Parts: sequence; structure tokens; C-alpha cells
Amino acid sequence: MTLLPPQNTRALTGPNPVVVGPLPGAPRRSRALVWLRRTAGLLAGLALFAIVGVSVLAAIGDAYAASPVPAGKEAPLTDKRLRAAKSKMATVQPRGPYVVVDTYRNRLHVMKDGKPLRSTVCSTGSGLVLRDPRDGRQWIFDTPTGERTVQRKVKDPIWAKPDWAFIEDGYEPPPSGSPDRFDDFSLGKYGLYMGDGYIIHGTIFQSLLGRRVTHGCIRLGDDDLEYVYKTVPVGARVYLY
Amino acid sequence: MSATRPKSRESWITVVAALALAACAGLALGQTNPVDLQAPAAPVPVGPPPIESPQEGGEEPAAPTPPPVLDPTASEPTTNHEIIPSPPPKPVVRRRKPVDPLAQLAKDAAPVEIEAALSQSPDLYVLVDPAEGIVEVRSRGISLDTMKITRSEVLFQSGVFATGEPPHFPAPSLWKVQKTPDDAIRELVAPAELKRYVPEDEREDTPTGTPTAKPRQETQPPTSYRIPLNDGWDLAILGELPERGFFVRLTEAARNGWLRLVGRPTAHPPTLALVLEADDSRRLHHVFREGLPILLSPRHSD
Repeated sequence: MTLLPPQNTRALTGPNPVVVGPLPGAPRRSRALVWLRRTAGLLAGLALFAIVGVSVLAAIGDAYAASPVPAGKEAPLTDKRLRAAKSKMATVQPRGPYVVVDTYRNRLHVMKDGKPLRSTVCSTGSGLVLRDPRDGRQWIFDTPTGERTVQRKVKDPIWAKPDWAFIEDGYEPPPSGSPDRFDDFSLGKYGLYMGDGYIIHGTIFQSLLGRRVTHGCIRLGDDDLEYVYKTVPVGARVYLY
Repeated sequence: MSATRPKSRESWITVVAALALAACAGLALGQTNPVDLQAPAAPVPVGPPPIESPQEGGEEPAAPTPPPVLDPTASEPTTNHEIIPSPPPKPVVRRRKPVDPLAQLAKDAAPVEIEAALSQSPDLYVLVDPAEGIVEVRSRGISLDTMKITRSEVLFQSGVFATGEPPHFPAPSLWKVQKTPDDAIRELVAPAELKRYVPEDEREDTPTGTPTAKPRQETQPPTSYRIPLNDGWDLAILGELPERGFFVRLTEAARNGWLRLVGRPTAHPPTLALVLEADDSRRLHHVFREGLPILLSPRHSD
């Protein structure tokens, strides 16, 4: 078998066959062009791979589509059923003054017949969690939400400090009944008790009114507290949200 | 040039072959029982259902399952070990799902009737009325706060290349908030140890003068968030509606497809998306607690 020399190169013959190159007159291609073609081919391959890959993945997966909110289907309501539902609701609605507390904006509104009598700034629960290092007990300082009632009203209330009031300051709680547990100045001049230890009361921290800093109670300024105390009777509803 | 051409051809053939293989594999995977993302992922039951005490009522004792049949052709053990028969199976008591009377009522009652039933409880509830464009925080039928809906949409999972039908919109209905992210951001106060109590007037480091308290940096609630609800829907409160262009959806679908390929499919429940003003969103976020009822009304009823 004879190995023929390539047509566009010089034959490696003779005593000193050293230089091999294109024959004179053969088409010359620069290295840059070759590199460009290779790179373009690679990029095209990668792009094709990416398009096919993304398309395959997209065919496997789903995405959120949006549509307008369709109209709901409302059950037909006779007058009798409508009246019954409204009277059922009316029986649980407040008569006379009631209190609405907005725990996000820290506002307290005294309302009557759906109209505000007075709107005031207040302080509500901080939302903090306190942990007792001795046994891991925890307290969450949230103002409750929903409806409560004013169970009793007290002038010059005395605060029987619970354990958390001491633990928060880094002290061991004194034994129950200890005189150190009773505080006759922190709650201000009036207190409206709503059950479970939640009170609408005054404060010695007047500068913090309007902020969420309490342990769940609602703090008011002195004038507003006096107004609420005199306007809102025992049994009045308090709506907290 | 003549030296490079054969190599280039080979690389092209390799690339095309790889692409064809990838496409075939992808299509084959796409055909193999894809997870239905439109439906909420049902929990996979593991083991027998829990046994309830009979005092709670509402159970139906099921027939005990027969003992397993032993294979007589199985070879006897050559050792002297005693064969301990498996204990007879305990009677399986199927738990009947507790019926929520309010949810039951919501199926065929008008919104005003559902609200009348809700108002018998002192708890808060939220009325969502996309038709009227309002969200109201209510208790006992009294509106405590009102937020205005700027825009609303139903978001649902659908293929990119073929648009599916939107899911049935369950209005009116009574939803309940399943989970709120609130507890994750609560600040914890935990003294390392407690000192023996000293009355304030005997403390050495007690400052004199007017008492002051340290104001705390309050964290702002987010303006965009998603609330999972009890019946497979989500409620999304947003600052603006998400972009739903083709390329956005293509990217999202490719991402979901990849997650499905690697065995981590994520649930994307149908979502009622409401666009509110930033302050309204924050106020509403403050209201959402686990178990809060949400009355979805087709029409506002007073």
C-alpha cells in the first residue's frame, strides 16, 4: 500500500525534509477564523442544549397562571331567612357605649351606635416572649384579640405583681403575699378589668404611649383614662384587634 | 483546514446525540405520572389509623383484618428456634373526620347566614369580598377595620405551553388560617439567671427621678405575604400582582420541573391574590392568627 502525500502540502521527500506548509496558491485560513468557527459552533450547541433543556423542564413543571376572580355562587335567600340571620346577629351586638382597641396602630376608640365618641392613643402588648431561666416557663406579652367585657372598674387600683414582673427585671419572684408584690402607683388612677389579668389602666411611662410596649394590658394617658372610666359602664364590650 | 473539519463534525454529532438523549429522557420523565400540583398534596398515610377512645363517639369500628396466611410450602427452619406466632391484629377503628358545623353551614348558606353563625363567638373574623373590593376585620357583626382591595386575581398552576382551566372558586366559603409566620419573628427575653429580689428603694443602681422605659425597636410586618388556608387554597396579600409574562412563567415552570426531577416537588395551591396598600397589608398581617376564620363572600352583606 502506497501512502500518497496530501495534495496541498509539499511531499516530505529529499535529504532534509524540514518545512511542511501549504502549497503556494492553496486557500489560506487564519487561525482566528478557525477559532471563531469553533467557538460559534460550541455556543450554538450550548444554546440549543439550553433551549431544549429548559423546554423539557418547563414541560415537566408548571407555573402560576392568573385569571380574574370569578363571581361566586350565592345561595338564594328568602326574606324570612335574611331577617332571621340579621336578628341573630343583632342579639349579640353591643348596646350603649363600647370600646374598640386597634393594637396595630395603638388607638382606643370609645364608640356608641357605631359612631366614635372619643379616639385616643394607647399602648398595647409588645409581643415579646419571656422565659424563666429556672424552669423554662414562658409568657407571651400579647394583647388578646376578640371581644371582652368590662368586668369591674376600680379607682386607685393596686397591682398584684405576677412572677413575670420580677423575672423580666432579672429577680427571683418574692413569695406570694409578700408586700413586695403589691404596687399602688404603676396602674395610674383608674383600672377597667377585662378578665384574665388584662386591664385598661394608666401609666407612669407616658412617653411610650402609642407604642407596643405593654405586657398585654392597655395603657392610657391620664385624661383619656378618666374619660373612659366615666363613660364606659361595667358590662360594656371591648373589641380588640 | 482539512485537519480541523473532521474534528468539528465529530463534536457536532456528539452534541446532537447528547441533545437527543436529553430530550428523550425528559419526555419520558414527563410522561411518567407527573405529580398533580393543582391539587393540594395529600398526606401519605403511614401505618394504621390512630385508635380513638370510644367515649369520643362518632367512630365506626371496622371489621378486624384476617390474620396473615402462612405459606405451607415454605421450608421449615433448621434451628431449634421456636416459631412465635404474630399477635392477632388489633381491631382498627377508623376515625371519622370531625365535622365543623360552620364549614358545613358555609356549603349551602348565604354569607349573611354564615356571618350570623360566626358572630355567636366572641372571636374576630375577616370578611373578604373581592366583588366589593374590601377586606373587613369583624367581631359580632361589627366592622372594626376596613381595608380596600386595589386588585384581585386567582392564581393557579398551569402548563406553560397549554393554559389550563382555573379551579372552582369556592365563594361563599369559610376558610381558616392554618399558619402564620408571626411566631418566628418574636423577640425572646431570657435572663441567664435570677438575682435575689431587692426592693427598688434599696437597690444601689436604681436611677432617681422620673421613671423611663427603654423603647424597643418594633419590627414592621411585611407588605407581601402568603397565608395557607385549611381547604387547600392560599391567600396572598401583595403590594402588586406578580408579572405573569411568558418568560417569567417559563422560568418558573423550568424551576418547578427541575425540582420535580430531583424529587423535591413543591406544592403550589390555588391562591386568591389581593393587592392592598402597604399600610393595609401590615394591619391585616397583624390580625392574622392561626385558626382565624375568613369569610369569603361573593357579595358584601350587611
